[in-house]
Amino acid sequence: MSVGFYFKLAAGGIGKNRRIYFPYILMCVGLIAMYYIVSFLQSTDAISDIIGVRTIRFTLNLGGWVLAVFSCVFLLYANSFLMRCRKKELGLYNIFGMDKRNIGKVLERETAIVAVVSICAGLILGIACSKFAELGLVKIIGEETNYKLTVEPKAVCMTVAVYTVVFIIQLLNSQRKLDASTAISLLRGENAGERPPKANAALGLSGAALLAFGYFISVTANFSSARTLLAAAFLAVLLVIAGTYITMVAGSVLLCRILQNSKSYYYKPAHFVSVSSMAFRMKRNGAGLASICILVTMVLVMISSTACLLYGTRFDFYVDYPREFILDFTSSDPDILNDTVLPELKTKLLAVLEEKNAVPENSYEYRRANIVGLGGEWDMYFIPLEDFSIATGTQLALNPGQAFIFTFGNDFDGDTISVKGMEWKIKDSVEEFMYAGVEAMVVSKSTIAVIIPDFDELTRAIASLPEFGESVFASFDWVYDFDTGLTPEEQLGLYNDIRVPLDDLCREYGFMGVNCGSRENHGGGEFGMYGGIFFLGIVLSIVFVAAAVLIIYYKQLTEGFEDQPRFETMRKIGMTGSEIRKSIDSQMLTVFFFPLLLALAHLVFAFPLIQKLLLEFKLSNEPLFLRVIASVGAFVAVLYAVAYRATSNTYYNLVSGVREEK
Amino acid sequence: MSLLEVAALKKIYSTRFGGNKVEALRDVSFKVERGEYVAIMGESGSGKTTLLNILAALDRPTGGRVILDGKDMSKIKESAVAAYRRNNLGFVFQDFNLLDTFTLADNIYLPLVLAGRPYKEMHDRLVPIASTLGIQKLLNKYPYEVSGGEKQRAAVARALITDPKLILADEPTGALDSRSADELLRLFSEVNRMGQTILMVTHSLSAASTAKRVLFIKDGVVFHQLYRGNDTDGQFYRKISDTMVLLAARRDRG
Repeated sequence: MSVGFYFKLAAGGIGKNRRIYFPYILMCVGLIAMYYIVSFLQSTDAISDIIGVRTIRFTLNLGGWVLAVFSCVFLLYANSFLMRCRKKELGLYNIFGMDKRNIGKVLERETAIVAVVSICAGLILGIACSKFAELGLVKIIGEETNYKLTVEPKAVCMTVAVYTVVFIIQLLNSQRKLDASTAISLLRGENAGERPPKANAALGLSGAALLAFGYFISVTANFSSARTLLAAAFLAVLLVIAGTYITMVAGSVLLCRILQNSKSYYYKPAHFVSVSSMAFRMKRNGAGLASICILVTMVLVMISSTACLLYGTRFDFYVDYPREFILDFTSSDPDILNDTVLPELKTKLLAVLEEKNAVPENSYEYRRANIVGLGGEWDMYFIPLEDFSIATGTQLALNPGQAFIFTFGNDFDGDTISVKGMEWKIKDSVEEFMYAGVEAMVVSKSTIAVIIPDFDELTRAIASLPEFGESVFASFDWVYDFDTGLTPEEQLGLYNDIRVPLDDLCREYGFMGVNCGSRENHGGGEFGMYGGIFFLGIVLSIVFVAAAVLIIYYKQLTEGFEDQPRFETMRKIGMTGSEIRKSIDSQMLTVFFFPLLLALAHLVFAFPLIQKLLLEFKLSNEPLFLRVIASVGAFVAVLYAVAYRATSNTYYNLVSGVREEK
Repeated sequence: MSLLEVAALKKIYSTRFGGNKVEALRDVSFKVERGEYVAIMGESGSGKTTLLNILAALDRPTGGRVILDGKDMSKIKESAVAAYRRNNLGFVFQDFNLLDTFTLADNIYLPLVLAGRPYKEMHDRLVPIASTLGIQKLLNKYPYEVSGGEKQRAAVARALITDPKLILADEPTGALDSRSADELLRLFSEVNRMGQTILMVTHSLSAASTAKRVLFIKDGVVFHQLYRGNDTDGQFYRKISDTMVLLAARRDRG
């Protein structure tokens, strides 16, 4: 037998089985393209200027490995499905006189063909899409890039090397399966004895218990440190995965059994066929459905938590940095905030800015006294009413001895504020506040802002305290916040340029220092990192969704083949076409949307945990997170429905194909 | 009036591009009276499966008529065919066609469930049938747990439970060992004695010899028919056998 002979057999085998090979190759191509893109982004120069690029590269590198391992495991699953479908064909080769070594050669050629085709196509697709991915990544982070298409040889080499190894593993696995089989077992491979499922109450209940325990940990547990939080999250994830598998396999059969025992429910045309075949199907497909469920959950959790991270951060930016620039001159001298120093300082400051071609827009300024150690457990920021009114554009009035407060969302509930003989009755709490970023960092849970009409008296009172500087610490700040209307790069330039002149100003007027904050500068770093994580989340999600779709497709295909004779029998016995279709619809819907529903339930119960994890990143914006998670959930559900619709046609065609033959 | 009247039935299959035409049934006419037990014999390719498919309303004839209980089957609308089949015909197949996802009882209930009958009525109907067929103890088992003969008895029960006008049996003994086959044929005779009309397609001599009348079909026409009269199974068997030899001899002559 010539070498070409094996090659022809292999190519023919793939061609004849294109209904199962085509999606498999497509999946390989997709995975390889994704892997190339991820490794391309690690080495491309386009992101090398972004702040936080090292974090991004680290994240992407990690993601690349996740992708490689996932590819290997998932393709093994798909490949074992291929082998199962082709057992009969291989058995025939065997009976016609090819020994296992010969069949092994055919398999070798087949794997080689699939590998070469998918690596080439994957690389081409990857290179073509890499620019979009790069643009997407850079866009998420909010930077600029050029539109030149580049190829990274290093990434190409990595991709080829990784996936050659993956395909070799596939081949070894097929060979191992082949060695373990005989001609007859190959021939009969497809219809190995069927057993109707036995409901196992204990197993079903323990699955539900595992799920409930996982949910319980996620919802209730309160964690002191990030490490215990991660450990608990990990435990919850393990419990939920185990619970999902057991529930899907045993619990669903149990449920069907309970339904079957209810005579008045079960013996109805609409339920009869669907319930019994579901009981049957769940047992055999439970693991597959559980895998779909886990993949969908992973997608949901991944996208929603990274999106929360990204958008939460962006949201907080605008709260923390109400203006592009935030300047905070701070001093320990109570007398410094007076009518001669401040106007002079402001004039000088504007001159500095003008020198750098920046004209402040939307600016506001206010004085502030920060006092620690006088209000019991509370740290207090005092702000004069007149400054507050001008800065926020509000027209609030206070009588002497009255104050407004702003609580930063903490649980302060006193009626009065008193500081060493001065007392203010709280008139109201204000909704709006000039929430400055540099402060936001130091605002702790025990800080309140107090807006008072008699600021000068307060500063004098504090200055005359004997314990001032000993147990009472106070700083007196002048805050000036403004926009510039400059581009992000120019803002960064300005930020770097004005720091030295600002320090000079400080010294000139006797301030201790100046905190200069730039939204752009502060945003870049965290944004870069979160953007990278979010991007990776999207990439992995696409891969997982595609994997879930492929599993669904293969399921539809196998079940279609299996159900053909079943529906043929029902038709002969007197089931109408529409009855058959209805029964198919109802069981397909239940079987395929059950995993989605369970995945959404997982997401709901994962939410408290996600929230706690986000809190570790100092993000706490529940309404925003809820919105993000709800829209991610809706999006994935729609995607899943579309995938289901597209693949279910295969099933219908298979099942109804018999019907039309007649 | 006869229960079933088949007149000048014709069925022509054409290949996909309309080139070759195969005449499966040329001109088949016969009648089946109420309470009869008729076997149709013929070799592979004689057209008997085509005939059965048309009688079962699974296929439409090219020409001729099938009248069941005074109703022309070709006049039934496509949408009503399934319900018509369910209500008037019972089927017994060579390979049982039991659904592996159902217990035997549920398999038997299937046509009644499709007809939307309440569970109590189904159960009441099943009890006497199951005891006639001797499968009372097997009702909660799954098809894979019982023998071929038991599966076929369950399939007969499924055919009987709707109280059909006519039972159509397609090679009912084809997949059974001889003991199970004899048992099944005995049950057929007994069910027939209770008044059930049966039309069976077979090429098994012993199966045919239990019927009251045998039709021989060859090359798409009814070639010959034999009445049992007062013959025993053995005598009838010999007659059928002789006819078969005759048929074969004629073929030899060309």
